[in-house]
Amino acid sequence: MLRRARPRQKAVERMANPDDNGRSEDAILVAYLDGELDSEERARLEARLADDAALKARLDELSRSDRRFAEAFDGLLAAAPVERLNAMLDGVAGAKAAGPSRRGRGLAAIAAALALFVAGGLVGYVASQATRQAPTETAQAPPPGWRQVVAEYLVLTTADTLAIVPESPAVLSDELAAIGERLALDLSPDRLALPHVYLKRAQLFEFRGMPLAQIGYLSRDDGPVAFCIIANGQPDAGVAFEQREGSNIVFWTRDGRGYMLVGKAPREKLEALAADLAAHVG
Amino acid sequence: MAGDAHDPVIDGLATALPRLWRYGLVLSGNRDTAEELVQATCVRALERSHQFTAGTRLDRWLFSILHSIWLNELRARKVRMGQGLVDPEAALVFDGLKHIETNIQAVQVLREVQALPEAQRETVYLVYVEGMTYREAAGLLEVPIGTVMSRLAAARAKLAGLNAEAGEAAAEGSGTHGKSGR
Repeated sequence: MLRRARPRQKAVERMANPDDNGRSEDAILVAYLDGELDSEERARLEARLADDAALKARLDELSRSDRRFAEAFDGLLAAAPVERLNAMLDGVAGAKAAGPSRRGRGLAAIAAALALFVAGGLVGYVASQATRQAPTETAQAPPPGWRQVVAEYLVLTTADTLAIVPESPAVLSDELAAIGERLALDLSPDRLALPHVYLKRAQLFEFRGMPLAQIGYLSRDDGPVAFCIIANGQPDAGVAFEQREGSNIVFWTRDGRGYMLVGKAPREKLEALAADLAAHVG
Repeated sequence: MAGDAHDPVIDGLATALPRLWRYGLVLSGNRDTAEELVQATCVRALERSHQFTAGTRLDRWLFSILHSIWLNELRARKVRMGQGLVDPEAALVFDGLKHIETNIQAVQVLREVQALPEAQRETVYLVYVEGMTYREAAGLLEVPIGTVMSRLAAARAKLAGLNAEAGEAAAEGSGTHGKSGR
């Protein structure tokens, strides 16, 4: 099909003329620039370029698009969050290895780990994969609540996961402000400061479409402690305690937001920290 | 970490993580989405590690997994959730560049590439940044080679034009740059 060429440019006209294989002249010229023509085609084109000034001009014009692409994009590699990605891979690979005899369990763990990271379609995908692999196990179980998912995710977090997060109060403060906005809460480092555990990072996740904040602390004695807030619209509920996946959990609900403090720290310690947080945040 | 000490897929993933993330960033223009893409790619690659053919390029296989997750799942979700697709140029500049050393030329190239329509951008990225042949890119994208060619031709025409419009400021990248433009 011939497109109507703009009169001001012969080259445009050429470009719109496909060859026998439906390739435009521009495409051939670019393939030539990229060294992608076989020797026969190249010879043919070079012969034409030798006595077709307009074609040669078009080639020159197209070659102005040469850039140092690879070099320019190299800088982005340095911006990759390598530590987080490695920790994530360890988690995913570890979860896979953890249940070699029961494949469904491994997948469920992966699904749980990912449920926190990703939302919507992707969770749907992972869940559907899990269902496919282990129909009975997944189909009969009720969907896990948010505390269960957080607890399973925390299994993948070690002190190292948090230790490698670089100290950057400015970044942390920005992250908290952004997350606080989503949850309509004032989340400043001051309000979140706790005795004897160190505020390390703040992340925003989504759980079934609800924003879920996870604020990571590191305790020298007890490893990671996570303070999570979900805007789930549930009625108020007082402070309670439970254990899931080997972690201690103190949780409560206030003003349509669920809160939980989870970690390996002893119950009394967590309860004291939770009281502190409840007084300042929720 | 993992059970099989020498699982080639896990080893390959570990090596490829930064490049997978960069590919995700080019596609989505968003750091968080790039991370999601890498995570989902890891999960799926490990699930399907038995499908990987030893002796072939593992990184290409991982790239194709990431590509299909983006195309079939995350991309659609972004659109569906009404976020639209972020203006990739702005996002990359904002998300990526603030973390890298300021290099005016590099920034200019990234901007130009991110301003291309997605299909062209991705093809340019695979061929000119990742160094794939047309055939390899076509295989990964699951399109005919002719499509790769026409995307690159369109992208290059645009880059040549942009270059002329941007005037002298962008001239450093290509030696032949003159005042004529087009």
